[in-house]
Amino acid sequence: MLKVDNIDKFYGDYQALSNVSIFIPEKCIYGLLGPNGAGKTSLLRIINQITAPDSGGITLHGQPLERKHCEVIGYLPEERGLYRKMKVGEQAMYLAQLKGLDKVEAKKRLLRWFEKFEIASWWNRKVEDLSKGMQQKVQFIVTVIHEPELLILDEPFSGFDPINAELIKNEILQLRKEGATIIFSTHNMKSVEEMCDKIALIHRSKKILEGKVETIKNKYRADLYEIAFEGNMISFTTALWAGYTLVKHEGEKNNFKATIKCDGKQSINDLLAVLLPAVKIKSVIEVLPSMHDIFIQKVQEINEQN
Amino acid sequence: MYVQVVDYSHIVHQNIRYYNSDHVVYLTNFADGEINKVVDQFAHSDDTAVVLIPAHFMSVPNDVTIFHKDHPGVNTITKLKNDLQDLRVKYAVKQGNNINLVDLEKIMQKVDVHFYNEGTALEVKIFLGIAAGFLMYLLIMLYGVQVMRGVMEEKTNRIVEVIISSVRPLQLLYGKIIGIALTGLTQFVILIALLLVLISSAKTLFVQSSVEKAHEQVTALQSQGQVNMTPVESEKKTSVSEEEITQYMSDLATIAPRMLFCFPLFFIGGYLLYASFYAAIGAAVDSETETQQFVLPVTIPIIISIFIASNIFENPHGDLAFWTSIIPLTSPIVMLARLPFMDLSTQWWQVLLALLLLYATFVFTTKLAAKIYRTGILMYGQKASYRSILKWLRYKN
Repeated sequence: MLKVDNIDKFYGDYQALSNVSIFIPEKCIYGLLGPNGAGKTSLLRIINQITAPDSGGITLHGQPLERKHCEVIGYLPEERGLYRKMKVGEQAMYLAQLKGLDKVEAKKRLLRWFEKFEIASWWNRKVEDLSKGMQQKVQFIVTVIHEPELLILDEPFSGFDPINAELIKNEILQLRKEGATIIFSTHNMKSVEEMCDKIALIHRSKKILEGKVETIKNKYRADLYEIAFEGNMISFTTALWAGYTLVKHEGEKNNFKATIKCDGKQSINDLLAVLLPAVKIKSVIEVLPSMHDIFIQKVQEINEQN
Repeated sequence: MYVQVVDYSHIVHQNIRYYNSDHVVYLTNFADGEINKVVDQFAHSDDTAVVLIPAHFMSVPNDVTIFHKDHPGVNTITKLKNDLQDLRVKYAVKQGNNINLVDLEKIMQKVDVHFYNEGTALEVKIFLGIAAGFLMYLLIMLYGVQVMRGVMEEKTNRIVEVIISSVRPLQLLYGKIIGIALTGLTQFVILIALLLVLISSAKTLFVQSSVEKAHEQVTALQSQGQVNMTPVESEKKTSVSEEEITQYMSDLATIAPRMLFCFPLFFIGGYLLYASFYAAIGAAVDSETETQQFVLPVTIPIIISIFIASNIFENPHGDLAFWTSIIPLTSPIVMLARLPFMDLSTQWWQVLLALLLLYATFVFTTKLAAKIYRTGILMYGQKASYRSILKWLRYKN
């Protein structure tokens, strides 16, 4: 759906984005990850046409991105706020109309959302009277009010309390179900694993990793298995005399849980074949790396290279 | 400047040259000439004014007539009056013997002048000029700062990024500037309408009450036996002030149209020029306290303008007045203050030039301000400095 092609962006001498290309398929939840200052917000601003790239281009449905596309994009910036002295309803109406809705339609949709988020009674109150959480609800509503095909959320969960974060998370999933494509940038790796279909990792202005979450996890699997068994720990370790490393173990008497790393090309079958004669296996689980681990590993790798 | 002295009293022309200064040189080539011819000749010369001293100058010192093209300025007129006064006193003292107190009283009477071909009283010009200059100053500052606050509010509220994902940053900036300009113009129109109502009602009120007051005073004094003024005389006295007021009103009416025409033009230009500066400042800073260092340089030209404008009547066509009324940063205020003194039939080009320069400059500064604005509104938590702003000007957006 959205294709970002070889984008460069400079601020004076500082390069914020260097030759970044990403592809976001339709109805995908796309996570944009990276440490602070990596260039995520710069990229999101370029996709929103707030700033222009120095080189490279972006296409939406194969068409070069233009001003008219604003109406099919919804953007929740990281630094977000509202006019403090304005009434909540007035302000929501204004922002909805900026996105091209007419008055009647805007009002209808807003009231529906306000009911849903249980803030309808605040319509005529001033924004400064609202709690931060309620302001965030209003901000989210005006981001999605025009039912955008592409929803761009910059750190959507920062500053939300767990209850509101859950609410927003469910709304995002619901919107995807209804056909929206969603890009969000985050530091919150848990939400990435829970929600994202695809991710890109940006570090120091470059894209260093992109792909489906599962594919990436598989790629970074470390051939680690967690095995629970009944039996003698000594006979267990003796059985693993070659080709395997015992990473850690815990337990007492006859019940143990051990993490094994296969050093070579052995499969889980090979491992079991070695162990079966020695102990009674209760369960075997392959330990996949978390996105958190991959993120840190990848960033550290790059830092060490430089 | 050169001042021709035509002296029918024959007591001034021999000695007036001793009063020559760097700025004012008295000429006495036609001291005895026929006034009509001198004035005709004067029309084609570079001289600033012709002064006609009447034959009865010694007994009636307030009948000196001045012929001029542009108003020579208050300073020159004051000097002329002082010089004539001085000369007159010295002459009287030299001639007289046995001067008693009554004579002295007569000698010390103030010299006064009137302008032969002046349509408008100087007071009216000064008043209108300064009033218009101050109004311009107030409006530019008021609305300029309003633009700055508006921009700053959107930035510190963090709503600006939401809005510029729907409209271009420049649309937002121009929308704000134009919106506030329209508010300003509306308020200007209301203000002028109010003033007109006030002036026309004040005229009738003031004339009536002054006549009544004079009557009362005269009756009061008469009853105390202090004055033996007949009612006819007192009528005369008050009817003069009424005439004066009517004169002021008609003077106002002759100058008001050019002021009303030029004010909005200069206001729009001046406001747009300064509003773009103020908008750039609002975008560059993160908080009110940071604005100080940037606001000062923008305010200085305004302060200088208002200072020049309030003293312009002293020499409305001098170099300082001329250049500051042409240069865009000061012209909106200074030109307005100078306008009442100008002869538009020959000096219209100065107004036109000032306007053209003003609008050309505003197009340029707005572009510059827009660049600062576009970058500035998205820079959070950075302390803006002149150096960083210069850097922003080089960014491609």
